Amino acid sequence: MTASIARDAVRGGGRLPLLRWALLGVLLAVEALFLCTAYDAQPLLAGGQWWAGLLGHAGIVVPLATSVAAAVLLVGSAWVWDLLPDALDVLRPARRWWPFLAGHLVAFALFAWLTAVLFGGGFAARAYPGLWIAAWAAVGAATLALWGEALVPASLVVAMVRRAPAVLFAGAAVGAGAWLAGQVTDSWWSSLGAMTFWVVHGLLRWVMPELVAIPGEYVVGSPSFLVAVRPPCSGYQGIGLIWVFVLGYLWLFRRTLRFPQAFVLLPIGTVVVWVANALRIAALVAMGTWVSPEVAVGGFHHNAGALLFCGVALGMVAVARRWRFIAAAPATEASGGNATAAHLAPLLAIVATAGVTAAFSAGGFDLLYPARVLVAAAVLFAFRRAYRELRWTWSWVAAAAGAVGFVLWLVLAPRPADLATATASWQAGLAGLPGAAGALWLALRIAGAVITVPLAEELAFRGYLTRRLVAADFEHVPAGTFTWLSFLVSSALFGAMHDAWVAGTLVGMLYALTWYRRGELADAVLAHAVTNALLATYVLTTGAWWLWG
Amino acid sequence: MLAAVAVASASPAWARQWGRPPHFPHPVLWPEPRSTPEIDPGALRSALVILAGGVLVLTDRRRCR
Repeated sequence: MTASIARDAVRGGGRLPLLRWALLGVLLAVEALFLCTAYDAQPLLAGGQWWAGLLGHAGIVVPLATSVAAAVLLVGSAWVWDLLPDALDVLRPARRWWPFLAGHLVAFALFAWLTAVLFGGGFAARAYPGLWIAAWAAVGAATLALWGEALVPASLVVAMVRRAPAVLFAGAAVGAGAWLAGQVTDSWWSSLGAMTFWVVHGLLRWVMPELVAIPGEYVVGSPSFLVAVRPPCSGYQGIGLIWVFVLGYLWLFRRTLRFPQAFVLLPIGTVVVWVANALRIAALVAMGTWVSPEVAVGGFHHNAGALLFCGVALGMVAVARRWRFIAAAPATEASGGNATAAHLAPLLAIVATAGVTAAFSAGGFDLLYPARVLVAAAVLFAFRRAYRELRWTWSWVAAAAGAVGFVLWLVLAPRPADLATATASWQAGLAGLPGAAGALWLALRIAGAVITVPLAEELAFRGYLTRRLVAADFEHVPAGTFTWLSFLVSSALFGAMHDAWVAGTLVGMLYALTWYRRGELADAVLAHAVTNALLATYVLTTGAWWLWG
Repeated sequence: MLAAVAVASASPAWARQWGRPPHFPHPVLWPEPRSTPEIDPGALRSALVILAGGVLVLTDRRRCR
């Protein structure tokens, strides 16, 4: 009875303060990020004091707490649903939450100051260091407690725990167990590293006559390019990530899968991602030896792993959808086509092609950029019949919005720290191309900025995402339907996809508003194209190549 | 793949390979020992876009009966 009321209440929509919770989460993440990047605890840990030992182990708190919280929510999901009516009652507007937020901000200011005193240098000279450390820890705890109180009242949490303490203890045990398992298996990397090393060696020895190998140090390569297999490239990261991905997929799409057969994806994914990692390392050595050490280290090493992981993960999903052994209803292509693919494929094609070309360049100037334009154009052409919603009419408002976007980008986009190096790389790259090839490269670069990128990004972020965030059946959401959630989330994700994320979020909002105004996706594309055309003009006239990333 | 590697590991050629004294330190270690991150922020961002977008495309409800 209670559970049914709770679900009905939640389905009623909008009664939980999701926006406030999301903003509080972002606030805490930004505060933590600021402190972690501004200060370094290492100098303080060098001392032999009692608190240095405590601080040295403080790093386990966040992963352990995250693991326990996730496990409690997972184990107790039914319990949380049952008790949501209480939550709804307590969280009604009658209860003021903003005083706790104000208290949190004041406490955080004090905590930041104490952190600066402790970790900013000069702490050793202060009297009563133990007291300073205790005050820092107490203020930190108060900062977190006030944040938590603004999020959910402690009285509610206590009441929920009292009603079902077993759930809390079971969740805590599972979470702590998972964390402990992570610690234990972390020490096994050496065995996995050795296996990876042997496989890489086995692969290379057939093609590389002068193979160099130091088994004890897991070093393998050629006389001119050696690679050491360290924990991150032993395969552990890939295996951990594929488990997270597959388990998430199994949970989210559990209704389309047969159980327990679907769990076979875990061992398959583990083996495939590990073998793919060994192939990546062997390819890295081959590239560093026969192509270019700069490209191997500056491009291939950073990008190949991510691309391979994406390939393995999406391959698992494709298999899970079509393999009758685990798919409850094997996928077939519907006669109406895949509308999601029509909206997302151009962007995915650009991002994937950029990843591949980046893997074959040493960073900076991307000689293979035209490949992104050609691939995106081919995908757009393939789905051209699905773009009936694009009705091309001129809009001065959209063009003006694009111009405002240009100004915002110019003002807010941060210059790279190594501006001189980036500029030199571009100039050298362009100078290295013969006259006609250089002109062709620039023409395709401009075509990408003004045509394919605006089309691909607006189809994905405005045409698809703003409507997908309103309803799963996004095609039936009227064009230009506004909700705060879809507006803010789609713009934030658009910003997150760019290096200049603040500028990206704001211009994303601008394009979204253009789209909402008349419900014409072409308006957003036009605004985006105007911004990029003005940026291209600025880049070509001033030599500010960094704006082209 | 694993079976092939296991067979190769047991072969006399493998034994000869491991029997050789190590080449390290080698006269050329390009250009000097260095560590590089497994993935940079740009590649991570691209991977997340591809994964999220790829799952959305592959699980589009209209592809199921």
